[in-house]
Amino acid sequence: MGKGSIVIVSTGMLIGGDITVRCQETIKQADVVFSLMSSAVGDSWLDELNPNHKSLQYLYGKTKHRMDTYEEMVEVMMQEVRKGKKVCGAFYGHAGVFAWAPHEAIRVAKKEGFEAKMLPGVSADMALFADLGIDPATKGVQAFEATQFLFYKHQINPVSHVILWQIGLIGEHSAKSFDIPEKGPQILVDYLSQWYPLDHSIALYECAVLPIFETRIEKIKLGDLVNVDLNLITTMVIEPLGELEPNEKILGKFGITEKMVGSRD
Amino acid sequence: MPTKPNTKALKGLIVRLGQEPDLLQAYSNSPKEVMLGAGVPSKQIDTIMSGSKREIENLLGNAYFVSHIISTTKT
Repeated sequence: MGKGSIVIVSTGMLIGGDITVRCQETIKQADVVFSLMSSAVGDSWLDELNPNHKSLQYLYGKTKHRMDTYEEMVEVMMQEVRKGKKVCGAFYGHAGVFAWAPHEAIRVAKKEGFEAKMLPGVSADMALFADLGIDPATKGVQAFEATQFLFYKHQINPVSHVILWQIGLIGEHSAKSFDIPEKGPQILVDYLSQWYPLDHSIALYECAVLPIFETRIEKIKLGDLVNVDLNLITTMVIEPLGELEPNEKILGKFGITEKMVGSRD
Repeated sequence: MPTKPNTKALKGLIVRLGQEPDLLQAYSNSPKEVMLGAGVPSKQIDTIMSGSKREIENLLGNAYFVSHIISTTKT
């Protein structure tokens, strides 16, 4: 038996359709595949790609601390690596975006002297750039985990798009519950009102992971956030407010004016 | 206890819909026909056609899924 290794692959948002060639080949060629998919359809698909596939879903518990679950996921995968197996961890979306366990598995494997790497994929924000027609190059994009945004002193730049992840869990601090605290949306709206008027436009986005379902794109006013359904998969996007302000000092250092930036003259 | 329906054909079709744009277009135009062609049992076709997300999730076995890797606020 050779020396064990682990490759964490990303399967993308749309099951079966978003995966890259090298991620799919890694799944096929692994001795054992562990996964966290967004649907049982994803599990069936992985079963077809590699019969030695096991879901990690069973490690979740209703009142279990999520870090316990994630540590167990890492340990389950590492046990096979230590046996000398070629292990693949397949995670939906981008395996390294809003996912602690995949990163930790790589850290642990490398620390123990095993080969380990992660392959990228399509995450929810990549999908929403396409579905909502947002180009991060236009005015910039800020992104925060919604609860962390409230609990810590992040600063918003209203001129850019702002993405708030996990809005459906806003204010959930125990890491044991999957329910949204009742006060969460109102506290968020109040907090955001220091940068935005209540009638400012926001979008609620839920990427369809199965092609038989529709992607949710719901445009509402900020103040109406308290009246809408929020789910675990809801991402909130705040439209830019105002125009980019030139940094005259830096422009001066280049010996140019704002008018000269990107000018055809 | 009711027996679990065999959803292999349905799940296989859903994966293909995500991979084959022409098939997805055909499904958008005539979902029933595409499902029949893929060997999906009529009872399951009725569930899909009902549009009830809850029933469809139950049929697919998604009810037990936490389905999302939730990032803790601070680690």
